[in-house]
Amino acid sequence: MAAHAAAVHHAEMGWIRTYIFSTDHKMIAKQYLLNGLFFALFGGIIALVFRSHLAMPEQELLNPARYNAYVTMHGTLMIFWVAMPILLGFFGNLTIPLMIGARDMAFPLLNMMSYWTFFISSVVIMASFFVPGGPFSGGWTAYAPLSANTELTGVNWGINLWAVGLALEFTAVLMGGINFIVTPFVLRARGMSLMRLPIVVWMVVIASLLFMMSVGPLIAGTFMLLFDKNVGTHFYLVSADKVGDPLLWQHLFWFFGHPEVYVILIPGLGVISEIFPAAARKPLHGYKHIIFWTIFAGILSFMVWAHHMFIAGLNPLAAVGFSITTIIISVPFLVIVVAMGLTLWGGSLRFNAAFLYAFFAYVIFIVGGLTGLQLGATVADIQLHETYFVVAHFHYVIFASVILSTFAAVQWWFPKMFGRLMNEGVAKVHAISTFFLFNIVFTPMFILGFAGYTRRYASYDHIPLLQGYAWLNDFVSIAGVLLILVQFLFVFNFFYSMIAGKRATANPWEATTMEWSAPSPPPHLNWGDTIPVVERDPYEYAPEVPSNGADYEPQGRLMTMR
Amino acid sequence: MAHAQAHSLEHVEPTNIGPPKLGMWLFLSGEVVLFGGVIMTIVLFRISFPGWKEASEHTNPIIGSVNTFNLLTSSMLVALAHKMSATGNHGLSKLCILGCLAFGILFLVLKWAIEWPVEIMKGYTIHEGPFWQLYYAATGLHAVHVLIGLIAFTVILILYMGKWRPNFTLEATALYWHFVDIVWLFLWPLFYLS
Repeated sequence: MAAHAAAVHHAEMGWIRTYIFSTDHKMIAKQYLLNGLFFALFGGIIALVFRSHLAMPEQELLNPARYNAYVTMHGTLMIFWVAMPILLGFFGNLTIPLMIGARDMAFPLLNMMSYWTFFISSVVIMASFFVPGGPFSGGWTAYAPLSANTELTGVNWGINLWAVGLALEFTAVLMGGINFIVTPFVLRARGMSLMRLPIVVWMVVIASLLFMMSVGPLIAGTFMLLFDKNVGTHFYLVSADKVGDPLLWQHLFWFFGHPEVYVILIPGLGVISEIFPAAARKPLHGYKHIIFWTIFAGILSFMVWAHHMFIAGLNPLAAVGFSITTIIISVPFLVIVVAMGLTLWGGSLRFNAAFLYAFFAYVIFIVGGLTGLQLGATVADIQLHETYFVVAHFHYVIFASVILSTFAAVQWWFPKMFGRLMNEGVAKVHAISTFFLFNIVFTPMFILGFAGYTRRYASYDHIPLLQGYAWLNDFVSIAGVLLILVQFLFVFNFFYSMIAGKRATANPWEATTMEWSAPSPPPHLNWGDTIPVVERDPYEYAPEVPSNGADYEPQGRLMTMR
Repeated sequence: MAHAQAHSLEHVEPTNIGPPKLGMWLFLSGEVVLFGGVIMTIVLFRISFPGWKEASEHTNPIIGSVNTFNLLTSSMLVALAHKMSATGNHGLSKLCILGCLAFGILFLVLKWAIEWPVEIMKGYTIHEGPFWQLYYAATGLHAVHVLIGLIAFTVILILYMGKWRPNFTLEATALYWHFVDIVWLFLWPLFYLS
């Protein structure tokens, strides 16, 4: 009764409280998604510009300093302003309350503040494009002394804004993270035990925990960087009479940076694990194994950070140790990938667009994971470090977990956001063309990396040794431009379907988890006059004795409030 | 908003820790990692660079130790304030918060108005090598945390003077205050007693 009154109250809340300063988790999820997609497009266009420059350096589209700035901002934006808001902000906000049968997050006001802090950080990082000297150009990892000394890059305000924007973005994700962890533990519907939580909820919880447990040292490190740059301290800088430790930044950055890789990887794996059982009409294979091995990988991710620093002057003995932990960490992901594959095995697959996106993400992630083994071995890394091989490797991982699983998630949960379905045909064309173009762009980069193409060079024309591969690099540039242009299909599909897509029923995919029991789109506070009650495990497809004549059993049902 | 929270709580499975408390512990665990990074940096610099011991002899261990006493006492008082307000003894509880504020302000006055200016006048600025830059950065970060805690207690005390009665807010701020206290117990030996 009271909830109904609250829902009516919400309708009277006015435009600003409904669409701008909303505390509703679904609206905040949409805000995060749109903000993230904007930066994905923007970061993609930056890549388009610098790859165009690389294809024809003699045209001087960019000067070398500007080229570095664009490469830096592409990395920064894609990790911190695309992956983080979408994989945590969007996935977490949209799925957690709906899937666990809650009416909203545990702290709705904190949730709203989280998004608006993120929005301010977006404004700050965008402002860095318009200050004198341009945006930061020292690489997205901001290694000292390049980042701490203005004279080396000629960028002054760009780095200040970069650091402040990053600190604000971390604050926003921390606020969101508290919600993502607390909500599943305290607001679950009756019957929703921890081992009945859908896998994507587990993944967002684990990712948020990893983030909270790793980001502190980098926040401290970022302030030390600002001190070095603006106050003249010597935390990282070394001069004739002052001592500092440039490696300290790398330690602080990668102690955060490697767990961060899993922060933006495992929610993506969670989405794939949601879609695979529904597409194969089979229960998820090894539900508990996936959860426990992910937790194991999360713990281990705090002990591998120095594999980013093998040639930074690390003690070889330490390098061996980190090499071993790095190779061990591939075991959990092998288990997860095998479990996903066994979910598909023998299933009667439904090739809808969401499944195509998820399947392509799965395939691409496997290649990314396998090439990581080569980089994790110290011996191979000496040759491959800082080359296009590394670039190809992490794009294979991150494009799968961030970009493709975002497409999959948007396609999948579009009805719960807008009450409509995205166009299947356009989505399929987009999925297939993206998959092929992505491989055409990044597979040659493995070869280029072996050949000795070092990252972050504005032109390779002056290196005679590499001239034999110049055609391949140009080929990559052309395919890369096409890959970015194809993404406009998604932009078109997104906005077109939002306005004119087919109206969705409550459960268009015949999926089991709780969000499909709510109407599409769910009202404010999600469940109206009913109370969700959970009776089963999350993925009961193809039951032996179907209770309702369908080939799936919904995880729970809605009880009417008296 | 308050509405939404109340309704989402109505089908909570019984847990022995409420959402705000769990959230507060998570926030504090993030803070632990933040100061963990700072303390790790202190240890690293101490091992890597000579001259740490000589530099640390120029700090003022008396002020450092008095400040330790200040923080520990205010921590005790805030624990008492929580206990008093839980048993309905509101007058004493307000007095304890006032005492906690007084000791906290004393800490900041000693730190920012006496200790730092004296050291800077002696020439030990933030530019004087690894010890001093970490000294100012780490104790400064800690002092900012103290300041935030004091602001929170002031707001609580003002509200408390009126009709408002402390609920979880006082306990959460007390948790934070104990955390700030514990951080100081690490910084104190690292800078003053080495």
